[in-house]
Amino acid sequence: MSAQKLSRREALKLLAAATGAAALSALPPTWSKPDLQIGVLPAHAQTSLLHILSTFFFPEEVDPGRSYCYDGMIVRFTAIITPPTTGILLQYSLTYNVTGVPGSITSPSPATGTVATDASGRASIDVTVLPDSPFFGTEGTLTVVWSFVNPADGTNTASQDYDVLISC
Amino acid sequence: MFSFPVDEPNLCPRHEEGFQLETLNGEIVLLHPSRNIIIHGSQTSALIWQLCDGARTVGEIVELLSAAYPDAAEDIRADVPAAIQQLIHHGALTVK
Repeated sequence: MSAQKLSRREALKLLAAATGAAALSALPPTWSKPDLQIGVLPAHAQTSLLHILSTFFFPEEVDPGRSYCYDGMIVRFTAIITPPTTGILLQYSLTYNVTGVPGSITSPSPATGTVATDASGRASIDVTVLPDSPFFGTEGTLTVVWSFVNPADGTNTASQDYDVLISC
Repeated sequence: MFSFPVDEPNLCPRHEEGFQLETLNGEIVLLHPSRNIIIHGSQTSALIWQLCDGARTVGEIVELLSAAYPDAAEDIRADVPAAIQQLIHHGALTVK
């Protein structure tokens, strides 16, 4: 391979082809130090068929094109269990800790509930935060705590935070 | 324990069998249920993992990424072998 002679665009095209990226925009725009978090699961997780709950996926904003502050913000939280198994019920408990202008969770309601994992072992919830006033936005930290509904399914709890900032 | 010579650019790393790959927003989660290993990698880690196809050498991977991110070429020369070494150390990659 003669990568040294490649232009940047040619190299990005090769990267997109090699990684299956649908578009160049799917590649990271700049280089950052590779971050690897490596965990070794307890041995009993395999032998006893218990599942381990993790939150390796970062929360993401859904529908970021909402352009008015009174539309609020939707944040997707995802938990994953291993080994991947469908139909395991996970409980979520949501809180919104206001650090600036007040706001609140409007969906899901109530802020505690259950969701089942899919075939890849993932379970997700979309959380809507709205400013209390449509004119002033809101700022705070959205937190979800995940746990198994049935302790016999697995062990561990996990939490995720997302910093909300809606400015008008 | 296998020690990967980080200054050896001609090795061809490839995926170790048995890992299940999940991707989300360009990041990766590698699961190896029977060996009880779970690895989460950032977007750049995901790029390195995906380029380790057993055909490209470490040097070629460095060159390709350096061409794509020329401003970070110096960092890439250090980051890529280090990340590959880490993945080999944890059994996610092997070399030939």
